[in-house]
Parts: sequence; structure tokens; C-alpha cells
Amino acid sequence: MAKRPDQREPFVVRLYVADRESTAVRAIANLEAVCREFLPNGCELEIIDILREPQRGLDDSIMVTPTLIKLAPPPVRRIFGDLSKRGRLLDALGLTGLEIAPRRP
Amino acid sequence: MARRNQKEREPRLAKAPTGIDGVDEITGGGLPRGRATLLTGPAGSGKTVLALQTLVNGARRFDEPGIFVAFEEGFQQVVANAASFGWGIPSLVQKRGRRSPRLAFVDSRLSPGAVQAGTFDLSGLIAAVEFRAKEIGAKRIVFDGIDVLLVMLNDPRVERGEMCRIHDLLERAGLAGVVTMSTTGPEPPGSFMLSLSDCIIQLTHRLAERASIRAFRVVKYRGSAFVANEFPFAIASQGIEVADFGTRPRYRVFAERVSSGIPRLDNMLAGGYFRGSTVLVTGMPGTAKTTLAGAFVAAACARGERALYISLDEQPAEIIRNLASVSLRLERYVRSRLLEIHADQPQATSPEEQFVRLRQRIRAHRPSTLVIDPISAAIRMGGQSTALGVAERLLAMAKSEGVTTLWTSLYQGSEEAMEATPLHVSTVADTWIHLSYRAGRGERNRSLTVIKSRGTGHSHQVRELILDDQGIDLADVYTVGGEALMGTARWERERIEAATQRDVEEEEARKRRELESLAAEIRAQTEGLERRRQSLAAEMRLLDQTVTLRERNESRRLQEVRARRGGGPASRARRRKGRSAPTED
Repeated sequence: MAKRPDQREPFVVRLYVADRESTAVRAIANLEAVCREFLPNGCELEIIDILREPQRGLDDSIMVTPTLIKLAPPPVRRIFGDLSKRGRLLDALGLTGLEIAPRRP
Repeated sequence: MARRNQKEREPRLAKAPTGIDGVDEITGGGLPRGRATLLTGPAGSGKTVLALQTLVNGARRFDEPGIFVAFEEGFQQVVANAASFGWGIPSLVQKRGRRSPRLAFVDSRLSPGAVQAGTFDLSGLIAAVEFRAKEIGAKRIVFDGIDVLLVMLNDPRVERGEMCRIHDLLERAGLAGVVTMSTTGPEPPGSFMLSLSDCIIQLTHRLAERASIRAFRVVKYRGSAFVANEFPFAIASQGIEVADFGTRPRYRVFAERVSSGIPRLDNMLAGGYFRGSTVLVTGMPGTAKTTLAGAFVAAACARGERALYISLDEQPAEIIRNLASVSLRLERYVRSRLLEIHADQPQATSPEEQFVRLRQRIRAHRPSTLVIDPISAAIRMGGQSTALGVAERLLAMAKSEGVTTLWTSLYQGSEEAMEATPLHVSTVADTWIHLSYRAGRGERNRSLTVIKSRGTGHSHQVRELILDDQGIDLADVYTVGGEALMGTARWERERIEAATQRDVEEEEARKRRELESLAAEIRAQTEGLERRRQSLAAEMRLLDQTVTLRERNESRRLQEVRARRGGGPASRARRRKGRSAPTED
């Protein structure tokens, strides 16, 4: 049974993209949409352009772009791709179950 | 020379030497710079070792830093796997003061549990790698386990696009790239991989007659000459070594002779074996092949040269003991480290390992003289054709190192069919000595024949090989009615010859005595005559004295007479002179 995330717990994600490629643009848009819909308390999102900060990509062993790392709440998860598959994204972020009751007043 | 210069002026493909024995020879200088080399092979075929070794050699020997991008294994795992090769990877990846490390790892494994949610590409990785490459000034790069990535991409069109990206990176950064790819089963990698790679190297691993055979083959090398043959290789204690026999035989040719250890054999060979040449000794069991080898080794050590004795059937202690019975004492040379004796079990290793181990021993000990006894035992390591290949390469390698090599080979067939010696090493050998038994008149005797000796006017006669506690010697063989005499028959013949010799000597002695007595007689006569001549001379001297005395007396008497007859001035003067004579005289 999926445990509901504590709404007050900060939600921290880091997104690695390469420049402004189409996958990068799509990934950012998809992630922002999820944040809007499922994380009303907002989320801490860091977007890193690996072309500008390659060392950070090396530090995090980024193999493909885009790669999303959910740092908090635990467990740390990695999701790669342009995040267009919403079901998998929500599953990996631990937000499944929330989509049944969206848009609270 | 002029032609060569012209050739060098032509633009050539820039290559990065791998520093791996054999690989650089086969590829004509190494792997292409600014391009990708695809390294394929099944799991465990040595792809990662070869790729990593190229990087380590680049960093250590050619001052070319490298990057290892790992899709399959982590840094710790790669380091642990390569630890036994002694490449010192941990020190290569460390910073050297302010200078950047010579080797960098980029861990590009997809973390377990990572979820794919949509399309993606490798641009992030390429950017990170390119950044790192610039940072350390990399000249080489390895993408290890690209198949992991391809499975993940799972779309030929996307795969192609990503490979192009890697290709562009290599070209842009001038990196010599190695991409390893595991091939499970016989299916070839995607055609785009083949067409994108400028150089394709295939590693295989199979069993041949129960021996493990690893093989290296360059399938394609765009814009470069290469040797397309399959070459066996070994993963040895210091990494991969590929046998490069037949690609470029280069060796020094010596005019110097080295002793075989048997003076009369040296005579038969016009002074001995040529230094750096290959000597094959064939023979049936017990024909003293090992003894001949031992004599050769002992002679080398006696000259103060180092020797290496590889036995494929006996233990070192056995060899030393057995050779001592023919007064070949090798123990002192083993103790003084001039001589190394190793007993190898051919069936315990693959032919390649055997080859590589021997090469390492040669390089470690630096012998001038090498013995392999018997090479025919090598058949046990994976069949005749494999053993032949290894034997030929061993010979070529020994030759290229300037080592004089003596091989023994067991031979049991008839002498007529001898050209087909086991392993056919005879065609490679410079000198071929055959030992056999001659049976007859109730005994067996060892015989030695020099069948061939390149560049040497050698005796074609069969000689008898005599072994006893005094050592080894060759005896002339008497032929009677076309049949060589040996053993007792030779001894009888020798006795007859000796008797004749004795007669001749006695006759000579008699004649000498006769002449000597005649000479003595003449000497006596000469002495008598001399004595007579001397007495005659004495007599003549006496006669002369008498004459002088008589003449003086006569002249005085005349003066006296003159003076008495009436003294003139002459007589006065004479008187005066006569008076003063006592003081003046």
C-alpha cells in the first residue's frame, strides 16, 4: 500500500538536461506540470545544464539526458527520459494514488 | 631510400600505438586517432583488458592521458579486475601535484532501479566526457560495454544517432577511441556499428582439441594496411600479448659461431652453430638428445653467457643428475644464476600461455642460449597444428631476440620419411642434427648425422656418438662396403689401424737411430781432423819463431863482424847506443 507523502515534507528534485534540446524542453515542461498538479506546497527544483556544468554531471554519473534525480523525500530515485510517460514518472516519484484525487479547492 | 622518403611524405593516418606486443605490428602502428575502433567479442574474451591496457600504456609509455567510460562495470570493479596485471591504475588516476591525472574514469552505469520515462539521448554524457577529456588533456578514450547502452536505447535509428555523436566527439577532440561491445553468439553487431567504426577488431575464445585458444583479428581498418589473419593471444601476467609471428620477421644475422659443446661436432659444422640460429636435434627415445642440449648449454655457461633450459618432460633435478653422468655439471651454473632450468607441463597450459610465459622468461633472463626439450611434447598442448603455430612463433621470437636456440624433437619413424618431422620444425631450423641407433652385430650404437646446416659447409658423414663418464665425443665411422662401422666393429677396425700405425712408427724409429749413429760417427771424425789441424798450426807457429830468432842472431853477428873490421861512424854510433841501452830499453 502506497504511503501518502507528508505534504509538509520538502520535495527536492534535480534535473539534468543538455542545453535546450527538444528533450530538455519537454522534460522541464512535464516536470513542472507534475509539480503544479501534485505538489501544491511546491517543490525544490534544480535544473542543471550539463553543457554548462559538466563537472556536476560527472559527479552524479549522468549517463543520459534528461535525467531526473529525486533527492527527497527518500528513497533517492533516478528517472531518465523526457518524462513524457507520466505514469512511470509519478510511480518513481512516489506520487501514485494522488492522481485519483487531483485539484483540491 | 629515396622511395622510402617519398612514401613518408604522403599524408598518413595518425595512429595511437597500443604498446601491446603484437597489436601494433598487426595494425601497422596502432589504432586510428580521431576515430573509433570497435572491439567485439563474447563475454570474457578480453575486450576490457585490451581496451584498458591501451589506455594504461598510453598514459605510462606515450604520455597520452586517457579516459575510461564504463557502461558495464564500476571503477572499483575495473581496478580490481586489472590489479593482477600490475598496471598501477590507482596511481594513474591520482592527481600529480598540480598536474591532472593521466587516467580518468567516468562511471556511466545506469543506476539500478532507474526508471525510463520517455525519450532521451547521450548528449549529457558526451558533454561531461568532453569536459573531462579537455581537463586532463586526454588523447585516448574507451567506451566499455556499449552494448549495455544499445539495449537501453533499443531503437536502431536512435542507436545510430548516438553512435554518430560519439564519433563526432572523437573527431572533434582528436581522441583515439575504443568502443567495446559484447557479442553473445555468432550474430554480428548492427550494421551501423560496423560502418561507423573505422577499425574493427574481433576477439574470440574457443576450444580446440581441449586447449583454450584466444584469437585476435583485425576485421577492417579503413585507410590503413593491416594483417587480416587471426592471431592467437594470451592474457598473461602483465596483460594481453598477441603473437605476431609472420607479420614482420626482423632479426640480426650473426656470422659468429658458438660451440656446440662437443669439439668434434664443432669441426663437423665448420666451427659450431651460428649465433642466433635455430638448431633442431631429432632422434628416437634415448638417442642422447638431452645430452646434446646439455652440452650446448654447458658450453654457453662456460663462456659466461646466460642460458635458459625449458624442459617439457623432465624435472630440473632429473636433468642435472642425468647430465652429470656424462660429466656435464650444470649445477654450478644454476647456482651462479647463469643457467635457469624450468620444467613446464605442456598440457597444463594453453599454447598461447606457454608462448607468452616463455617470452617473459626470455625477456627476464636475457639468455644467449635457449633449449626446448622436447618440442614434440608441445603436441600435448592442443594438437599438432596449434603446437606447430606456437613452435614457429617461439622460434621466430627467439630469433628476433638474438637467442641461439636448440630444440629437441622426438622422432620415431623411419629415416626415409624423416623430412616429415614432428611439427615440421625442420623447415624452420637452420641446423638439423639427427641422432639414431645403428643396430647390428649384437649391439646398438648411437650415431649422429648433420642433415642440414644453412650457410655452413658441413660434413655429411655419419659419426658415432660416444657417451661415457668422461663426457661426450664423436668418433669417426669406418665404412666397409658402404656400411658404417660402429661400436665393436669400429673398435676392431681401429685396432687394426692402430697395429699398422705401430709398425710404421717402429720402422721410423729404427731409421732414426741409424741416422743418429751415422751423424755421431761423422761428428767424431770431424773432431779428430780438427785436432790435427790445430797441432799443425802450432807446429807452424813454432817454425816461424825459430826463423825469426835465427835471423836476428844472424844480423847481430854481421854487425859484430863489421865493428871488428875497423870502426867507422856507424860503429861508434852503435857503441854509444849500446852503452846507453840499459836506461833506454
